[in-house]
Amino acid sequence: MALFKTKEPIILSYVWDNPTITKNLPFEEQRFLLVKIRPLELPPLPKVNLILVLDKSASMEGDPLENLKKAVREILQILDDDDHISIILFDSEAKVLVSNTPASHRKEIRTRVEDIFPIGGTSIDEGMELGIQEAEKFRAPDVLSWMILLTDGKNEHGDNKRCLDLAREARKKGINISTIGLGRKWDPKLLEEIADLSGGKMYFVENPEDLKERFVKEFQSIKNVAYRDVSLKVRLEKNVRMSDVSPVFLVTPQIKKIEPLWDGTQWIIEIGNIERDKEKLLLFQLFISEPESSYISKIFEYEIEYKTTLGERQTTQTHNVVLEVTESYISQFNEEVRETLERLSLYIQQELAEKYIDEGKPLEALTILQTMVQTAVKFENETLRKLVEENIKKVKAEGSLPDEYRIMTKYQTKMVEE
Amino acid sequence: MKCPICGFQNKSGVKFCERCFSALDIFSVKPEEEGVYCPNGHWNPSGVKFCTLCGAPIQKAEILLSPYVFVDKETGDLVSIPLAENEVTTVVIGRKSNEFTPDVDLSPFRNSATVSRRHAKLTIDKVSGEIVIEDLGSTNGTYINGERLEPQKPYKLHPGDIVSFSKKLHLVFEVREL
Repeated sequence: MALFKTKEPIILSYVWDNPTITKNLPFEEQRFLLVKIRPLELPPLPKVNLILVLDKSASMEGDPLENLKKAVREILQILDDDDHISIILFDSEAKVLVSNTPASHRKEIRTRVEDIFPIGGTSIDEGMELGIQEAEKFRAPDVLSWMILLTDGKNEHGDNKRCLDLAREARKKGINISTIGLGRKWDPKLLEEIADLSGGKMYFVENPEDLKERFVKEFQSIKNVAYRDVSLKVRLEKNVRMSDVSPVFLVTPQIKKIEPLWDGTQWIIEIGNIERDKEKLLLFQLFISEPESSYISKIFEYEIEYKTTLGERQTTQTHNVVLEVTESYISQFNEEVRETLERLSLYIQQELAEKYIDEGKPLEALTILQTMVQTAVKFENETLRKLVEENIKKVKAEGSLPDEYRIMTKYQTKMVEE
Repeated sequence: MKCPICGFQNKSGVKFCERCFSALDIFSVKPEEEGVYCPNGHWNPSGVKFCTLCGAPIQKAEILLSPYVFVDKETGDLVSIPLAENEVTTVVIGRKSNEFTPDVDLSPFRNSATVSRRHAKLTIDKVSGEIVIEDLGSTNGTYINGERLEPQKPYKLHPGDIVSFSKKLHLVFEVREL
């Protein structure tokens, strides 16, 4: 492993599939690079502007709603006094239950939460729109705005496209959205896209009793954000290019495909927030042809751009990523890289299988699902193996796969660490 | 090479599919390595329940076509003998090749390389219940309970008999309830 230690607050280290490259390569070589980014110096904790956008449709009646109230009460308890909170409720329409207010008003907020009454349908976009409006009421460079969106149903009275537009708008305004799907009747694709587009995370909570824990954990991870809007600026050498189809993946905490942006001189790779005490993993797929140098070959140079919790935008110095050039081929393959590839392949295969099913190609989907079983066996992931086998049965019987079957599989393949 | 999983047309020389990261070399692993065959003869790593190429279930007593089966007692792999509608069924047992597919294909079993393409003939009379096996002049011979059969001569077969198709592949003949 190559390591660059500097006085900078963010550190990047990397692992190649094979740390060497052969002189006189006859063809372009496929190479994988695992990049690890972690904070070295920690800025002060951020002030959190928390926006809860909560489903109060008729299906939430009883246990789900009671547990949701418990979760909100717990969040109120652990918010710092100078954090802010807003609460939006939605069914087929949305309304503001608690307008943006400091958490020190928790007593008053708590009484309002008791009055939530479950009725109506589901329109997620209505809730998101009001949520963004409320979020905007508390804006400062050192404030971290984060929405937690909870639903137990599909967006039956809303517009999925509008949800995605709102997720992009939120991202532009510096609001991240984490989504929580409760039970097994929601739309996993939609909640995943909202989270991915806005730089949040997506969660599945099967049992209402686990809502409190999920809300608390998510709030803690928001509070733990050390650096925001982190991106890598990458300038590749002439003999190097990124894959056109799968160039970069974010591996932890949840798998997400990243499309690098070309700004005319370099690639910008947006990787979101970095938490305290947590390493962020990225996997690059590069194609490298004959190296020019004969000892150490530079592959690309980069800087890391980031915002501190105080809102200052900063950039690290320029660093290089290199490979050692050898006379003859040295055969080796790093195990960590291999394992990462297997994880990613499970996730990509799950997406492809769903795509084929939606396109009416169940046979193609089955081939993929069967490969996933194989990988799950290798990872000794019994839960996933059973899930995929259930999916196979369903596809064989009906040629289709309902959402309740997709939720678990997506979550199991996307989630890499808690 | 075309990725067998996602269908992406890869450049030559890649180890992993450029689109879905599936390891492309697992499909060229030598069949001698630990693994199982699906009923269509595709090699799979052990532990899978369905063939990674064609999706057929890897035989573990899951689908029975008829009550008459040959079972590998060590692995549990089995093949069932398809019954004709007529009173009398005659099937050719052997190893599938590009030009020829026997009625009962033994290629999914381990150690099937020494089985001839047309190895033996099995006749089942549903009415009388008589079952007869005949070696078709196979290269490595057919045995019942260790006794080598004279080629082209019918021998009676009973449930529980161990039939060896060559000295490498030993299968138990069973009659099971459907």
